Amino acid sequence: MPAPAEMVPRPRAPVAPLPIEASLRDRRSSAEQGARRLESPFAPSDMKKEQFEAAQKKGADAEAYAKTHENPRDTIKEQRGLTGRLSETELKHLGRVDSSLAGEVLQFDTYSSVMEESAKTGKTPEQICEDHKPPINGKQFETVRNEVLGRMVNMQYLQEAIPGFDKKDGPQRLIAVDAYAASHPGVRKLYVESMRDIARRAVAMPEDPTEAAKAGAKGKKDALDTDRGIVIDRIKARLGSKADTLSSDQIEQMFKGGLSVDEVEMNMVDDVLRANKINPVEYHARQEAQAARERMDVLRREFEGTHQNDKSKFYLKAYLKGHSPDPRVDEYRKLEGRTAEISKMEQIITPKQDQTIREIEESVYGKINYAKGGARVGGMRSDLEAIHDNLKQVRITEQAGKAPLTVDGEKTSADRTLLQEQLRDEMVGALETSIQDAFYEDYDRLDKMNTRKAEADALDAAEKGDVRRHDAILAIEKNQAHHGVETDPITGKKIVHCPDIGADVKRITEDTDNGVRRLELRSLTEGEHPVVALYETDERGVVKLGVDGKPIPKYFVDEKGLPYKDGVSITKVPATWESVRLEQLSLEDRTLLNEIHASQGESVAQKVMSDYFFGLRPPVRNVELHGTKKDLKLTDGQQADIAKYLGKGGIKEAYKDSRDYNTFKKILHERGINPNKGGPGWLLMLFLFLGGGVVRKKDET
Amino acid sequence: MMIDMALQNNISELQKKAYLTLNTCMIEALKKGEMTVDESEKTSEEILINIDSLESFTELLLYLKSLSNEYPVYKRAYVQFKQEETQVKDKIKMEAIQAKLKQLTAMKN
Repeated sequence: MPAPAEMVPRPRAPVAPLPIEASLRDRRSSAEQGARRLESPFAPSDMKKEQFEAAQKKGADAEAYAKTHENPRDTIKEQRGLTGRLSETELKHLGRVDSSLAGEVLQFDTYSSVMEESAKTGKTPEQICEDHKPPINGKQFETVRNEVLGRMVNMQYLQEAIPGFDKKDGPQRLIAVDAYAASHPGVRKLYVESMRDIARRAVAMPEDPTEAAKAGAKGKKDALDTDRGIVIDRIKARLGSKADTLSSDQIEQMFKGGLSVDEVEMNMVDDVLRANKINPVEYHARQEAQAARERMDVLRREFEGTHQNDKSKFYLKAYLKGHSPDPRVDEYRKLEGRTAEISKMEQIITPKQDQTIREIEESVYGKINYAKGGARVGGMRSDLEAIHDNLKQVRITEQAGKAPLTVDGEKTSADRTLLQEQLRDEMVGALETSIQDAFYEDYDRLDKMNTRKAEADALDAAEKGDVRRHDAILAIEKNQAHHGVETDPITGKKIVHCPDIGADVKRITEDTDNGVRRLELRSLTEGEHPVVALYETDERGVVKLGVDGKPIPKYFVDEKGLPYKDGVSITKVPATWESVRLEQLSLEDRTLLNEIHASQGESVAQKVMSDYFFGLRPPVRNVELHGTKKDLKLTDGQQADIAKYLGKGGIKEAYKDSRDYNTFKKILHERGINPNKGGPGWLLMLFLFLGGGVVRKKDET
Repeated sequence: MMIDMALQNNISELQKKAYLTLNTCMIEALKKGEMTVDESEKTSEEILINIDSLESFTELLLYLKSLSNEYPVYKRAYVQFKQEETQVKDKIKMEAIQAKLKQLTAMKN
């Protein structure tokens, strides 16, 4: 019997193979997929071609560098790059905000860029100045250095932030300020970024309408002056050698006093005549005489015309006598008299002078064109009119530059003033802010590094199965911060517990190693679930509370601070982390404490000191001080003791890059002491507290 | 102790290896356009400071993990060192198991 239909397997269509993309698709939820996929930082929508190409070029250069340098650390070092200098445009906009501050910005930019390059490339500042384009003169650089450091030495923030500043002498202060701030690449980077931001915003600052009007007027006036100069040159060219002694200023002076073009024309002729040793009075006399004679000729012809009706011969004298009421006769007599007066003067003019006069007249008035009925053509009238109009425009332009602001102009001026003041304030405070932020970043980086080291030690302990040691290391890391500088996990704010830091530092000063052990014990015994219990705990290790709601002490000391003994001791006091005797603790606890001190002791001491120096610095943004800096005050003796204790172990590799160490090395170098010979750690710490005064020059010892 | 001795060996060798791996990641990322010039300069500075102060293999792993969380281009370096750690751990476990087996075999005999 055949099987039922439902039991017979149906033939299936052959399954098409999955496309490759589908087979590679990750179908897990995003939480399971792990870190986000790599994405190009260059979004296609705003593809920054230049940046993309720059990145590719840098990659290629780095690859080439790596091939020629065996040590990969050198390649990484080379990739650090330098903070670019401010451009001309940026400096120009900063100058619009405040030109004097912009000058200071340029100085800091120049100095810090040279020092940054010197630190990163190993070249000397002198070599870098020589290679600079354009080269920076040695003296100029020294001046810039002194001015930059001189200003920074007076910054109150730095005076308070640099340890032992008040105990350093003048040159040591300059070195300290240089090492701590002026040559700090982090300070430079932050400062240049803030200046760039200010310059960008200064672009939106409107021009001062008054200044803009003045600048506009000046521009127009300059253009008018140029045009006028061209015309005056043309006039002088036209006059040629006859006006060699006539200057452009003299020609301009002719227009003063609001003279008309006609008057200027006459004055021009007179001046040129004088320049050619011809008396203008004599010339004008001749002109007048000529004009008078011409007029007299015209009048005579008119008289003859009038006499034509009379058939008798015309005699001028008789006519004049017979027609005396005729005003023309009166005019003729006057002209006759005048001509007689001035005829003597025209005789003085020599034929040579006459030639010169003709040439001057042609230059000024133009040549006589007889084809046009004797009219003059050419001449410099049009040029004189051009100068006249030009000077009028100059006066109008100057007046426009002094005009009071319109309503819009006043609003623009107010907007500008507001923005300018805001930007100026930012410029003034930018250097201090950059220094604060750089110090904060330095501390933060060191803190994260130390936290990571502790975490690594803890993980290694756990890996070896030593859970208790793992917990102990983490407890020290966490609890020591509660007594030092701790970071708020939500806001990221640094909270500085000054009284605790001061107490911890003094404890180390007094008890050295034992003091550090006590701090470790404190961290291990704190909390509900302590690693080392000074109070009774339940089976989970949680501190038990007695009927009075207080923890039940495990250990007791007496009035002498010794372990309590029945029948011997008088008073029985619960032991705390400060008072418990280490021999009272269990063998297990003592072993743990010894192991922890061996591996973490140095870190605990250095954490206390880092927090101490951080607390000494003035409060900055994102830092909250509990207590005051008075809580951190140490006597000179205490400072010397702690310097001695901390320095004995040598300097950790990471600390050698610190500002303190490098400042110290520079001051030692200045005093002729080789820092690599013996005990730099001890001296470093002493220097930090007591200043360079403790370090005497070799010839002073 | 076993892992430290196996993997740590010499801190300077570890640092050199870390530099080499991170260098390779950075160069590749720059050439592919997965990293900007600014990022490479910033991370170079950070890498120098942190690797120079390295004291253990575990610390290196922790650093590489935090670095790759911030800059995924370095994830490969983290994965590579993590795999090395896993391989050594596996090897140690295998050796321990083999030792136990030998012991059991010897007891049986």
